[in-house]
Amino acid sequence: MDKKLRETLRLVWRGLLLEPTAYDEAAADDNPFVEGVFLVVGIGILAGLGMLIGGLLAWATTPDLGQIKRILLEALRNTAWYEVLRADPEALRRFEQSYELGWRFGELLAPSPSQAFLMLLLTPLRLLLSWLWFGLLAHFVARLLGGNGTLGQTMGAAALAAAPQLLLILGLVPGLAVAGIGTWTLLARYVAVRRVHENLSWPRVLVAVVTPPVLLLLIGLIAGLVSIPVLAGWLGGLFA
Amino acid sequence: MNTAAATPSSLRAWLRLALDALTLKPEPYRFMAAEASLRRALLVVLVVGLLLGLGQALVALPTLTRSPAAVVEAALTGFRQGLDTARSSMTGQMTPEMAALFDALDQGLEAFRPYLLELAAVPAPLPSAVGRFLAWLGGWLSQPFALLAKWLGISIWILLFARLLGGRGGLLPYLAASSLSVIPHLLALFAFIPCVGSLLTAAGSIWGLVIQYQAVVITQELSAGRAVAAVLLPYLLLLFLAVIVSVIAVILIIGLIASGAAG
Repeated sequence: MDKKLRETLRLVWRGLLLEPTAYDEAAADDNPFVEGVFLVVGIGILAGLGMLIGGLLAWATTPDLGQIKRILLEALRNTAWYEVLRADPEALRRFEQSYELGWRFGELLAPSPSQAFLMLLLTPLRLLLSWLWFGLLAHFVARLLGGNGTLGQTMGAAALAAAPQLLLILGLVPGLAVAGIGTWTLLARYVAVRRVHENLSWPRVLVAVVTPPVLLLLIGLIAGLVSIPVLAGWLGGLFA
Repeated sequence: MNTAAATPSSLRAWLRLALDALTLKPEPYRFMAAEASLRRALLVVLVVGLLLGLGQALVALPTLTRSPAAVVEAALTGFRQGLDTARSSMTGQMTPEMAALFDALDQGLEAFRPYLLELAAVPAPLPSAVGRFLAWLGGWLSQPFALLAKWLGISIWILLFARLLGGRGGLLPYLAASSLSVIPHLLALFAFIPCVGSLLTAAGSIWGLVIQYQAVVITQELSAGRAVAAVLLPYLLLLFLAVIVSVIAVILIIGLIASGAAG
């Protein structure tokens, strides 16, 4: 194996174990932005590959949804309740629409090859955006609070803090729930900011670390509240 | 055994370390905290999680060889037995309406039986045995991660309170030492024993908190009282939040009922 690749993998492993010296090394890189992109995208591709295999296996072991939909409808049609429903054409029409819509949503969420390949593309992209969002904002807040690290150092160390996301590779086993990665990443980010802005007290580091996810949550909430009327209108249109 | 000296290289040394940690001897905590890495901590969580999952995986092992149709038949038989038990326990108190309900459930079960068997036979691209094996494996391997999430989730809150109460230790030493708190959760392996099982599981959780306390005392250099507060405050905060949410929910429900009545 290439020496550089072996060293990078060892660095990621040490980053995963929250070893402070690993974050010092990542921060001290002479080109932390470029190294950061490679590191984050590399972790994302590996995790995405695991999820691709897991997604394909999940699809290959999921029974045909079309047949399930047909059998369930047939079972419902043989109940006394359906006989009552049949007497009211409007209620029957509404039921059939809701049944179709429910299955359409179900099919969207069900495992499929296209969804699995999408994960391969989206995982590196998600990690890259998450790294940029966290690194830039955390650095800004840390500097605002008196931190003495440079932007390059913060971005380099923050890239290594994506190491716990590598565990998503275990998604290759369908049904395996890889829990705790979010908390682990948060801890890794705390170590990263603490090592770069070493003059900051721990509460200030904590503020710098939690600001980006809290801000993202707030933006998500606002976007959610704004989109509720739009979504309600769209669903209303479907039922009309 | 001088646990602070070197990494235990044998299973026996690790078992001794676990036993010392369970009896709250300080050496295992210092040994774990001495390494500037989560390597040993993750090893402990991984092994305990796999052992915990193994208990459930072994119980679920027979389902691997059972056909989907047999699973459906077993579920239907279990449901019917439950109905019969409920029916016989109500002898003498059975009203005609309840008897009619039991009969309807019985008939409904029989009417749905062919459809359930048909559903169980719906094919997938891969043989159903592959799906069953992957689900079984996934269930087992999820256990270490569930334990990891639980341990990290509670440990960061305990550490936060410990620091707010004047603790001076670092993040890594505390996390490494507190990983020992997952060991008593092995008592959950006996959860299948009626009555005693749930008591043992609860005892394991409380024992885990005692180990968290010992980790706080050793790594954060806090007094006993403050360490107890640091361990219990996250749970009290959670309780407080639950009470507030419940009160708000009750007020909202009463408000809705009142406005409905007024309308």
